[in-house]
Amino acid sequence: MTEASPLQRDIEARLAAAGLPVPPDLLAGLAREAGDLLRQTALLRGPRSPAAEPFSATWPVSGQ
Amino acid sequence: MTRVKPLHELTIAEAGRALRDGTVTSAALAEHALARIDALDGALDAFVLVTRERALADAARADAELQRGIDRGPLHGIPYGLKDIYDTAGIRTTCHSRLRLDVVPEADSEVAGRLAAGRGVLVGKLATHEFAIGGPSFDLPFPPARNPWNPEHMPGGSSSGSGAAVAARMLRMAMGSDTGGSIRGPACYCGIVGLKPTYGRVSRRGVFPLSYTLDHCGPLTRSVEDAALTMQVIAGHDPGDPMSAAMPVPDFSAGLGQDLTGLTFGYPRGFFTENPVAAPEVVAALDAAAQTFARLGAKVEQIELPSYGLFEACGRAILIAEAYAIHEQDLKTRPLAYGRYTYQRLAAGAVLSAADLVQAYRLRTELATMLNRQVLAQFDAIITTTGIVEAPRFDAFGPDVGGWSAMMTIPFNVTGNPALALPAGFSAAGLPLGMQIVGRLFDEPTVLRIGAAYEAATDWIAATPDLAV
Repeated sequence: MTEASPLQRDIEARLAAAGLPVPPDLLAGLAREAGDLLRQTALLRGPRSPAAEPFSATWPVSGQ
Repeated sequence: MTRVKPLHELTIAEAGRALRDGTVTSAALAEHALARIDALDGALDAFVLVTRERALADAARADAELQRGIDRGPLHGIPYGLKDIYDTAGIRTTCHSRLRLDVVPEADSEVAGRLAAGRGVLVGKLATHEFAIGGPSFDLPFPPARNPWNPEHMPGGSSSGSGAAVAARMLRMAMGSDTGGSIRGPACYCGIVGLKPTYGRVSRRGVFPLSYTLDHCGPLTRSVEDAALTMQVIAGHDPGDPMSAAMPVPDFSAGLGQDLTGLTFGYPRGFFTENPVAAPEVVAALDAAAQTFARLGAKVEQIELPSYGLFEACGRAILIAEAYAIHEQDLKTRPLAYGRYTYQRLAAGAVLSAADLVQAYRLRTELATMLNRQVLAQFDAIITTTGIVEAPRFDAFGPDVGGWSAMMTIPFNVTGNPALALPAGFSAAGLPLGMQIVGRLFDEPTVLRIGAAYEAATDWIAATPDLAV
């Protein structure tokens, strides 16, 4: 039996916390998809300068 | 000797002229479209429902009005189709899912209503990836649409049937929806034109949502002019869509036929060449397009944008979080009713945190501000690729959902800018390659002007798939 990786355990814990009962046959593919998604979300937390803070801007920026 | 075009080769503009000078009727166009669907769709599976009786009734009404001198605009008498996530009163709207096989809406979506009021002729509802996400699946109640250029290849998605039906000349126009590239991807893989308008330009009311803040509705057509004509009918403020923009509707055809002298384009070549998956023939097609624009009088300058990965991470987190919120209840109670790919894509949203989503919203503002207040303050448009490879084969997809996307489209869902996908050549295997023209917010007329000039200079749209009829 293969031991689950920390990422796999993290994903399974998050799915359980969300109350999502995953059909066993779908779990491996879902875990791969979720792992890829989590790796990408790390990019969302890059450094930002005060000038880049969005609270003074609107979206979409209307009119040019 | 002048060759008379078969009816299915007429663009909307050409068919419109023929309807108005009396050389063709809407009934003839509808019957021809239905016959072509009968002949071709068994191999392409673009339609999930052909609305034969409705089409003939719509056409009869359109003809009767034209005979009385009543002209309701550029789509009067023109056959069209709707991706099967657009509500249609009294006509089943399935989202290509077994969860909605019995759903018959009581009211039209705003776009379906505008098309009906414009006397378009509804010919059918079109295949989609389930709920506009997932992939080309064989475990759904309807088969996936196939690419008319080679049916062993996918036509792109999620507006897969819309792309296939227009490329196969079964329709001149089909409505799609675009959350991460679902209009522009099929346009690219099928060698046709697809316009994702500015966020808020076209109402989404009555269109099944995938992501509230990324969804856009727009047309797939064979020519840029036909996209402009369609926009004239479907664009405009709708108080029923909270994000619909109360902006004046321009003349979308105003710039068609104008040259490009004096326009400046940013060409973020590294945006796609840095991707190791990008096919050399895609890069060559885009370089050739940039040279064509320069020949046409535009100034083309290489620019740098933030990395594509940043846009994709931002868009994907928002898309999946919002989609999960929409589907959460069904994912928990009826997981096996979804197709395998759809379930795995959507359920992944359960692992995202509230902070992930807020970080994505913050980044979106930053990226949109950068694009609109810096890049597009200097340039009239950006030119870039649509896809980075030709259309994949169906057998490239495994049992579980695979990699995220081979499209370069989601940045402009994130920023909300109008983006026009159009053909830019062919691969060595004879499959279409495509480019995107991205414009300023609510400046679709300039985007269409640029697209029309490129189209006229290259004539890629004249190429047709080799079909049996």
